[in-house]
Amino acid sequence: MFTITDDIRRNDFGIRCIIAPSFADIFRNNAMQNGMLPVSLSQEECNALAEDAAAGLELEVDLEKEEVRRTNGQAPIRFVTDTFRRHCLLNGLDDIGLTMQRGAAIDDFERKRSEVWPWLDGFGYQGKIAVPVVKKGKKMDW
Amino acid sequence: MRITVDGELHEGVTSKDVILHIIGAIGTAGGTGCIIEYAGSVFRGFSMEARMSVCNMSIEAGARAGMVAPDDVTFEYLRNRPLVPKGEAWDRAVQYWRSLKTDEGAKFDIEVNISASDIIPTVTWGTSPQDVVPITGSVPDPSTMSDPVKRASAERSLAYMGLAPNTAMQEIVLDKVFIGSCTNGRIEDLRSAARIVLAAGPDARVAPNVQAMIVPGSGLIKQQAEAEGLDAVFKRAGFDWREAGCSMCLGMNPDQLAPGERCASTSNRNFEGRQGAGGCTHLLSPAMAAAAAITGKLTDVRKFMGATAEAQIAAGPKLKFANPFDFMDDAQASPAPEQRAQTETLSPLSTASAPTSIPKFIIVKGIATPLHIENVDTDMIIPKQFLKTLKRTGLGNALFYTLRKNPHTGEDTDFILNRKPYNEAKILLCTGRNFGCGSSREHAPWSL
Repeated sequence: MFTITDDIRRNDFGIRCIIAPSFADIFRNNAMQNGMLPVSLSQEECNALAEDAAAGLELEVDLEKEEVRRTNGQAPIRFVTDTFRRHCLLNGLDDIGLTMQRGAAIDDFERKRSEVWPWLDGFGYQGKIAVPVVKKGKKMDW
Repeated sequence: MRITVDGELHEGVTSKDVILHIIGAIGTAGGTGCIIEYAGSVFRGFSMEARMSVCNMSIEAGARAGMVAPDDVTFEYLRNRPLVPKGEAWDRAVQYWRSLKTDEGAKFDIEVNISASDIIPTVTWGTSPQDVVPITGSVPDPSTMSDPVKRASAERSLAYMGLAPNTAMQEIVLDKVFIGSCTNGRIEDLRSAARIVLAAGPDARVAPNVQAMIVPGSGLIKQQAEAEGLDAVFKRAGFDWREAGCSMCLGMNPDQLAPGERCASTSNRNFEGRQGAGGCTHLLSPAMAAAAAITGKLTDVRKFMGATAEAQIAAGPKLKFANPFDFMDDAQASPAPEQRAQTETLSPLSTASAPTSIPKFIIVKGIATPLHIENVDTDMIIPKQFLKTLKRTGLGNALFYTLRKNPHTGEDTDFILNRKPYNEAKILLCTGRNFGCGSSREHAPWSL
């Protein structure tokens, strides 16, 4: 498990939110798995906010209200997020934590998998795949 | 998403040309949110190796994965491989796999149809895999582009690549040629490159201005290639025959381009700095890369085809097809799992409250950094030399490293994130589309 200090030190430069007209899929997911919020806005909205940014004005991104508030008196800009992902970010949940909450369903699936698609168990295994113990060797360089 | 390529491919057009052409047609964000099924007579006619090259580059088209429905080509490739089920289990598996195809009349979110005859040998000119052009074409002219973001992006690419608009692709002179990587390091790729070298005649040598390396995709491929005599063909012509590995695909090791060096590469990404800070990459097929190594310039591979070429190949050393199974070991069952020591046991997670393992995001207020770049890729966000860690911390200094540090002096540039107040930004405001494309490295969000 990662310690709290480790968590706080993620997003090491300190950027928690990225606003852009669109995102690549895998990056978007990786970002959310690390407590960051990718916000997709229209090209015009991005251009307008970029002007605030270029003027050195702060922005306030509120995930609960789903809006970006501006400090120059202009109206906030609304955005939408996937309900499930929003729930995860507001509560600090990542996929591992969420997956482990479904342990029983996973066990059921693994039983079915061994019956219907036994080759998916892997060579030399039967039933639920056991995790082989990896001998401590030299540290891998990646 | 389904991409169908039907018809007959022209001579000299390989799977790599097909996928580069596709990415040029749909763009690096064309497959965002999708898995791509490749369908049509062209993929049906491809070997497994060729299908793998295509599927490999689905990521460069923005997709999560690519696939070709399993057929007899697939089953013949798998049959008797060490970890594949045998006997009755094999029959059962094949029967199941035959059911894994798209239903008649299935609806796809996106359908793309491409005619095979439209594809000719393809290379990239810019710093995104979508920047493709036929080898017979020339470098595009940004002044003719109406979309201002596209124009700015093309101008930036050309400045980085050191190319003038309207230069004929075949006039572009190279310093390095790299044949290898997970995209094109398979036995068929090496055979196709060797065939071009043979077609160039017994006296053909790598051009004096070029250093050319061949890096087999795996140790097994290397052994097979040597048994087939391919290494001798390459070595005789002055290619560097290397140990298997990633090598110059991403420059995490000493195989790197120096700033300003230009490489014809069979890998999958041509982002700024991908093969070394300041290095310029042109993506192409193994056959095209071999042709480029011989001439020293980007070259239409079809110059090494035809009657003369066939005669040279016939007169050259006889190559034999080795059986890939000769190099494979029988599968060994993994040892039975040992019981974990009690102290190592992780406490079971409470189902009532999941662990809070990432910081919550509720309200974030702070300075926002504007950034006007399209297709910001993860190589740009954090370059390869910082990927040798699995720790999530301490990567802030690596963020946008090639933009923040002068590659020659190592000093800070005046890039916006180096300037106050943006060096303390909490928000990044990018006006260009498709932020975060390219490699799936999780280091990118860690460094932000």
